[in-house]
Amino acid sequence: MSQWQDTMEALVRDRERALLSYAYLVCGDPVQAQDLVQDALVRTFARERKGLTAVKAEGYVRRAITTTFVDQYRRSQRWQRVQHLFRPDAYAPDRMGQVEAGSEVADALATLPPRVRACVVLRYFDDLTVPQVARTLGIAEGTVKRYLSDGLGQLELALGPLEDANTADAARAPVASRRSQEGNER
Amino acid sequence: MKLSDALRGAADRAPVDDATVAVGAVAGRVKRQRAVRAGSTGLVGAGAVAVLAFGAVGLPMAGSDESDDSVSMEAGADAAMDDGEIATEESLEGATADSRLAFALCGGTVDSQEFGEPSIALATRIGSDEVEPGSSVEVSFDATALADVDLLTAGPDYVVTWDGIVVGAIHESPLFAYGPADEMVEHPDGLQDVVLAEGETSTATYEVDLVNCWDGTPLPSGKYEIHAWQSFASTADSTGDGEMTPEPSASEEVVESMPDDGSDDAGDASGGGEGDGMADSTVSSGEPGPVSPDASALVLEQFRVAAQPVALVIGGEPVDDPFADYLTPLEPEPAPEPVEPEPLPDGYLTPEAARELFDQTRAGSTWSMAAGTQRWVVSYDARRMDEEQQWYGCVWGDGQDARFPSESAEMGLLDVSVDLPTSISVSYGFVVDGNPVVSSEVRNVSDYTIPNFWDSAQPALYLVQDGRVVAEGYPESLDRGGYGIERAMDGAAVDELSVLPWPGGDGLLEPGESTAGDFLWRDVNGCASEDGSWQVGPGTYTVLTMQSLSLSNDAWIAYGDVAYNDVAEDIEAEQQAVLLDRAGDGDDAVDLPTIESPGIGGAATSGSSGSSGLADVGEEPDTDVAIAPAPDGEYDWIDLQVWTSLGTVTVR
Repeated sequence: MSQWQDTMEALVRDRERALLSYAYLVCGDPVQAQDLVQDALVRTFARERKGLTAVKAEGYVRRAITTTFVDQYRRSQRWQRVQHLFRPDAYAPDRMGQVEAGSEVADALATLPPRVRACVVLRYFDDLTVPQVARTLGIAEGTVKRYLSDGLGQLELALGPLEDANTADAARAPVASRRSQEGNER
Repeated sequence: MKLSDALRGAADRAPVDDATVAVGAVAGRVKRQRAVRAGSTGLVGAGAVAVLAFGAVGLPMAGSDESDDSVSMEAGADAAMDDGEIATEESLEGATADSRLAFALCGGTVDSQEFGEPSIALATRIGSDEVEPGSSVEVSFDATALADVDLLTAGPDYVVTWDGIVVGAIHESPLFAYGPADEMVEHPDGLQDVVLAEGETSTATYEVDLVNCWDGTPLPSGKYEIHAWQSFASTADSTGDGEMTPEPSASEEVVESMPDDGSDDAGDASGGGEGDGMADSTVSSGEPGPVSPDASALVLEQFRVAAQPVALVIGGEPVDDPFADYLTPLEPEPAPEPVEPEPLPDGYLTPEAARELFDQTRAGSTWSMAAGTQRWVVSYDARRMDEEQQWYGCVWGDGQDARFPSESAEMGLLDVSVDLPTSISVSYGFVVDGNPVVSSEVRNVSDYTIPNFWDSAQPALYLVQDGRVVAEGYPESLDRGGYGIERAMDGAAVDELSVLPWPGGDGLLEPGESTAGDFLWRDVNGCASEDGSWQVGPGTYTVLTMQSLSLSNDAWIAYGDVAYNDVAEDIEAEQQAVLLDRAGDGDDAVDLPTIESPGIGGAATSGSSGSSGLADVGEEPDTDVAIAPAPDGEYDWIDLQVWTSLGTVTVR
């Protein structure tokens, strides 16, 4: 078995749940999350990347999940066929049948437009700075700030005041470290 | 509540317990994409003709796959879902448009299109040897394994021929095609897996409409043939062990391995298939398909196999030369007789005058590109054709100097001003967050009348860093190509914006005259960098704009008044047709609107002696401005470029 295949299998074996959860956070649908992860894996491993370890690959895959999701939005032809899944008034029934009642944040996220949602996840889940979010999604920093502002405003309507909302346009990442984030995922 | 904590809690509770990542399927897609990437490298050259030229047109018209139980022929839905880097709908539209001309064309002949070493034999069967005009026929394509195979295919290709000429049912199923960025993409429907043991057969059946490929009318009575081919590909992992198959790595071998296209004419194999409606496959003796020069990459082997053509009779009274209307070449229009040349009017900028001015104002130093400065460059000169051309812009290959040409002048013919934003946001080559409007004005500040000045208000923007062009941008004219805009006359209402044909113009920029326009800056196309990137990174760049000026002692219409009048009549007729079509006829007719000319360069023209910018429909264009060749008959020309520095722009 080739090296990339070993790396991919190790990544999926160890981090499948984390990747799927992340993708779910991005897209709000477990079925699409599955597709997103698989598409992101293909994107990541379809080209030769020397020295790619499972840890590094996870970073690639997570970035690919958000960019794939936003790309799908950009490509409206495909997006048109699935957008009903992301509208709160036509939210598709969960085919996995596993939605928990307490997932308020996920429900609130589902009300956000795709790009806004991606910005929020990258900023507050991945702890990326605004410039990093902008580079990841290929949009201007000002646009990211606007999306974050809009998104947080909408989330606060559903969730109440958010303590870290004032860090939306910060150039630096929130205090929460990636290490603690990964600890939560594991 | 902290949003970051809440998000992580939501991720922990994500309802993905039943979701799984299909590692095997992902690995298959990865291998396929790696193979495509590797194969695309090997395909450059002769292989590109043999494989890709078969085109990417045509979703399956109709059809059903019939397979026996032992056959696995599953649609590669996963490939179609791979929306990230392969098989996007828009990319495939581009691929379709790009390659249509390459496959069997209506009215063309059918050449042998086999290559590679086939492990499949293809046979064509038709449901009925004779059918009624205007009907369709069921055609089955049997792919029989000559060995145990695990292949990819997009399905059969077929055409209907008459007397060896393609006349109908062009159906193509290429494995791969080019996307909008010249990347390799899969077939629009994805590829199918064909897993067969030796001797097993997989059958695909299509309902073929018997209509001609020019206008879709039913094929007339007569004898026809159905020719079919099918392309297959295998990757190293499809041999079963998942390991790479050692292959030659030299790119020369790749090219040599491709078949000589167009060797056999399958159209003469009319004997096969008659009687039982079955034709045996033709097996090519070609060399293996293209392989990757990268030894670390997976190998993509491809072959294409042809079936013997099968005969088909469309019943009824045979028609003599049934496709004469489509196949008879058009008689060329006789060229107009040239008129006697006349000297250019006084005061016009001639190539000779431009050369003299260039020499007189030749710059003695390298251009600093300071904002507001300008340099003229001779890009082509009929007198210096044996010299290396002056070039500045994106450099796409080796051997070209990316620096601004050392030979330049400050001719001072044109004053160029472009109103640019100080910063833009660029994403994937597009200017985002609104397309800034770029106002451009070009004024003739010389004493010459400048002819052939048609589109020069259009700015061509170049982003420069360290003296080299790193990106180009071509703002889009709001007038969409300089067409006139319909305007109501005498208060008559025009219910919608209408674009009418260009009403003509003289193409002259008189002394003191200017042309201006507004344009949308929509994209920034990065030059190819050493690392293969095409993106423009954030930073501050010097922006240059370039206008070109083409001077000759010839006229823009070379044949003078006679041909010019013909053109004027054509323009008028076209305008009238458009207007009459809109206005209706009889009592319902409305007053014809005027045509507002945006002037030279798709914008308003102003100045001491410029055109008014308005021309009534039916008004004869001024034919006095036609410029005839020089009296001595010698054709002389020179192309100049004026580069103007506009300062800097920041890309975010």
